[in-house]
Amino acid sequence: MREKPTIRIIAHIWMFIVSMLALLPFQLLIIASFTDNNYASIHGFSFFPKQWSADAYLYIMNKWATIGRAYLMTIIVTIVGVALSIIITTLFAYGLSNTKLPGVKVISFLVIFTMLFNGGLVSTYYSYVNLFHIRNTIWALIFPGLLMNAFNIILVKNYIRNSIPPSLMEAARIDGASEYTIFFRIVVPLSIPILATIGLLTGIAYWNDWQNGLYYLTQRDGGHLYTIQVVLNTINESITFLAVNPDTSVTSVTDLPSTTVRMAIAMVGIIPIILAYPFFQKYFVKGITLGGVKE
Amino acid sequence: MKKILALILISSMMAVMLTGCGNNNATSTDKSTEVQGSESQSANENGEESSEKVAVENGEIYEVIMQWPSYGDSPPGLADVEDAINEIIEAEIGVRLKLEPVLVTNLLNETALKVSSGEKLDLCLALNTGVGPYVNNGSIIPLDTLAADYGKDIMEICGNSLAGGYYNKILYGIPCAYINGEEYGYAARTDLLEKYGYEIDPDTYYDLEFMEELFATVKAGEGENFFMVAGGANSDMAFESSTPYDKLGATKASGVLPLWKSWEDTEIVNLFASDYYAAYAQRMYDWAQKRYLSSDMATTSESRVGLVASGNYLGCFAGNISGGKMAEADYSNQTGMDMTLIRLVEPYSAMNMFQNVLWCIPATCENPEKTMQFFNYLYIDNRISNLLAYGIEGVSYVVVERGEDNSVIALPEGFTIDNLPYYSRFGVYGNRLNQHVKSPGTLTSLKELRDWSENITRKSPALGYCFVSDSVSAEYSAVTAVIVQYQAIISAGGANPEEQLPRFLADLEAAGINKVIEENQRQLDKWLADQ
Amino acid sequence: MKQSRVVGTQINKLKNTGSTSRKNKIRWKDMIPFYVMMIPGMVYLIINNYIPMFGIIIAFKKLDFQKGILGSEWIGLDNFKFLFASKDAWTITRNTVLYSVAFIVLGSLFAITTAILLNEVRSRMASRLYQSLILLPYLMSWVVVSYLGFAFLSSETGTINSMLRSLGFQTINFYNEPQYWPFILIFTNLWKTIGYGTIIYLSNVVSISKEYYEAAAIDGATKWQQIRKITLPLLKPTIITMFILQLGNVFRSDFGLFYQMPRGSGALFSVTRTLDVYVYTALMKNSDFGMSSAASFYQSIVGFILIVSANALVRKVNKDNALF
Repeated sequence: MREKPTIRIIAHIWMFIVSMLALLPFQLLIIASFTDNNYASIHGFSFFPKQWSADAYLYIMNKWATIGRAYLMTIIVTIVGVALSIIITTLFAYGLSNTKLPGVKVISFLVIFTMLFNGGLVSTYYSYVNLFHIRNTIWALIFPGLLMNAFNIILVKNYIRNSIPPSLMEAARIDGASEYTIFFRIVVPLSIPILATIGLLTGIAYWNDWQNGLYYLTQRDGGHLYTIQVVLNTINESITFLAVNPDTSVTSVTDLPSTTVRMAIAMVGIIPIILAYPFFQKYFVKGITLGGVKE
Repeated sequence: MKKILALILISSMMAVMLTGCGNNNATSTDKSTEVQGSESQSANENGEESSEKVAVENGEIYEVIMQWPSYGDSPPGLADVEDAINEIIEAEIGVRLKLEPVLVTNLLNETALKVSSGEKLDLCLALNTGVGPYVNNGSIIPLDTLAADYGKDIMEICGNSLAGGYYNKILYGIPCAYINGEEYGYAARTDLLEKYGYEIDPDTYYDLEFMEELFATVKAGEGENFFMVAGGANSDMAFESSTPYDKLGATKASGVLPLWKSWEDTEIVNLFASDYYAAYAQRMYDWAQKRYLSSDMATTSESRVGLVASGNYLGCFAGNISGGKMAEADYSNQTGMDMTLIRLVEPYSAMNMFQNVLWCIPATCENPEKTMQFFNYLYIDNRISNLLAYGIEGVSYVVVERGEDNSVIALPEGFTIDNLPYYSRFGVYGNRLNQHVKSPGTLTSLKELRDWSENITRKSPALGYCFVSDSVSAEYSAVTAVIVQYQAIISAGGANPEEQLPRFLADLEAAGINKVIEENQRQLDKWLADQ
Repeated sequence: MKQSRVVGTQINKLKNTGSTSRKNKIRWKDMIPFYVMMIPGMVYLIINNYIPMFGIIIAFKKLDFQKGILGSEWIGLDNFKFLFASKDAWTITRNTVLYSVAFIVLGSLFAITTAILLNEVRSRMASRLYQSLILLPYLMSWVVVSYLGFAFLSSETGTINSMLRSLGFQTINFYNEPQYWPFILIFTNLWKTIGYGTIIYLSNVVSISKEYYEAAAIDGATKWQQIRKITLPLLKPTIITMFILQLGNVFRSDFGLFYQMPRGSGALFSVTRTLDVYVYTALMKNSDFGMSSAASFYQSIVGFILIVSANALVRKVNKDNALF
């Protein structure tokens, strides 16, 4: 079976262009984080700065103990959150994928409704703090907003409906398998690509979230639970605050964090994802092929 | 079998979800908590954070929870400072202080959320927002009677500046006691001033013409890519630093009193329609053409001091530069270079100056009387405010020169701001004119400042009046949006004002600025009549 | 046999069709596992979304925390007024909608193309590398991207202007000139989201059985024909679903993109100011929960109408592809 290489060449060219467009700014980010701030103020960020400096990173590393623990928290929260999220979402989506289920249309509507309408911070906070008491617990980082969302449910539901042959499931049912068996033995293994997808998207969402930590954890009693983005975001916010409120009679402005610090902060947040991502890529590759392979 | 597995799975998840509810108290790092009585502050909540409802030891001690503005970190020495304070106040007034660090940009949100869910909070800080937003969403309580009964010393010490806490004629917030007015100016690099032969007299007040002349000279010498005015985005600092005016407790969106023209006139004008502003806009455009201002001024991401520190700028318009030598030293510290302050506006008093730091009592305070009592004590006993402002002697600072009430202090050997056990970046506590002085200040610095403050004679005729925007909030918001759209470009001289200003004014009118100003005038006239 | 089990009239009452033919009988016992599996998800939806949903009424109230959310005064549509008080209300709406549509159309186009082409890359290593790289922009925050953009577009020191200067041309102050920004914003947004979109479509492309392609190849179909006749049709459900979902967000915009990227420059507002930016600048000094809640409600209601309409349309054409 000889294939003309044309499509492959086109594919490579296209992917190369897109990848380069993605990579170059990232390189600029790395270089910017190592640029001397005074030089950057005068000459702007460029690929070839004449003055380098690791000051931005040193500034962050001053808070090293916090950052080390914050990384740990982020990893824990992300792993637990993603695991729970995949489980809940997939179970739910499997239910929804059954078009004959009574009420499936209503439930689908209710799911999508949540994508559109939101009660807002005040009532959400009230509910989580007063009714469910998650303040200053680790659940405050896992539950609000991120554990399951309508978008992921729909992605998985569609995938199950469109990519898994119903005949396979019917055959198993006739053989006497329970729905749970079908779910675990057939649906899940065949859905690995989409599960990996929502796992990735949810993982990134957890990793990047700083709002849950900010609202539900107090600095004193919950500060040890801060994730990396919360810590970094507070540094960012302090920069913003100083820019907007320059009245120095009230705020002492010494040891001002600068623009390059923001770049270093971004790097500190991104690098772990970049390092971890390749390990999970194999799940995006073709899933288990069909064609009569029995589990 | 799979069924069972599934059921186990699901139930364990439920268990997980539910145990989350009860896990609350385990992580509290409170020391002992002796909370006076009441479990239910308001009718609609059934839980508080870290609520160890422990029986009180001696039923007299009330815990005051006070916000502590921070940059996101909780200093390790915070508990020690609390202990030192509590040693004093528990005995004196039967109050126990608990500090709650809050990210400074999140103060408003944090207070709102706490009040909305019924969590106890006794003292909250309104920093640079005024009390307006807090009153509008009902987070704080009026302080008139409380201050009269329990805060007599505060009222005396704060004097004029107490005016900043009024909203709709009711007292809602208490400022920290500091100076009675402000003066404004420009911070220039000393080395460049010397290079071009400029001697700045600290007692003279210069003007923008002088600045222009200075700029011309330095620019000619330093060249094309060297700039005269470091500006961050959205800062109208040149205007703020050179013009006396009164925003009447609100913003430019509701009109101003033109103090540059008259100190008695109480007619509110649309600042942007005034001749003064037109001249100012023209001057900025001119400066941009002459490249005194960088063409990136409106969009740069760096702060003013950061830009000056980079070495490519003569200096920046510094806004409020009250504080004489100490302010100068402060600026020099920030930029890392020796700076000289050029005074442009003689000191005066206006409402907005006293709205920067306001302490309020939220609706979920359980014992406002005791809280006010504590707060009053903060102003008269400078041991407490020194502890809050600087930490514990010998640990977070060392005494350089000991004085009677207060001393000159400095950082301990080998410490920087980052590794101090306790460091407060915000001067917001108590009577700031009765606290330690940081070197290179001297023992007489505060007295000088006090004298200077008492000698401020120029006062806005509307001092004490604050505009309430409720009835025109839609127009007020729309006008604010228009100002955001045009102001930055005009202050950076980025567009020809002959084209920009007419458009700006037309948009302001369309958004309803006249309606807002009318309302403002109506309220002001009523307030004046009531005086 | 299971199929001949007869179920009671209870079931017929539930079914709207009222049909009693055997085909429509529901075997409850078989349905229960589905419901059981949906329990955790439903519990979460209730806790996270539906209990707090009462907060929507804040948009219609003058929120006073001392009275509580439920006790605060109703003020009808007053909180919505500021949205229409600007004389630019039409421009703002136009900006929001046009950009959203452009993002939906172009975004899908590029993501699908990239997903299909990425799938054609045979080398495992190259494929993995590409996949990692295209995700990078998504991980950067808009603040950081705006700084990088500033490095390019800055008037004094930017790359583009330095080049112009060295070639003897007049420099362009990008942050003052609106005409470039539709392109800049669309390009930047595509750049930032292409990784995300590609991965979603990729997971679907990957699941298409190789057998289809092999069969087509045997029949002599070219690659291009294979894509057109196999891949795209099989992607159709996902494309339609994504399209309908994105319609729900037409009135929303990425605040980071429209405010941070132009560095908040007012001169560009005619082309960069979307509804979210307007709400932010209007409420900056006057943070009012009621008004921001009203803005959010306004965006939601429009999205809701759009989704329901689009869904109804799709349902007419092909029942299975509809969302609900």
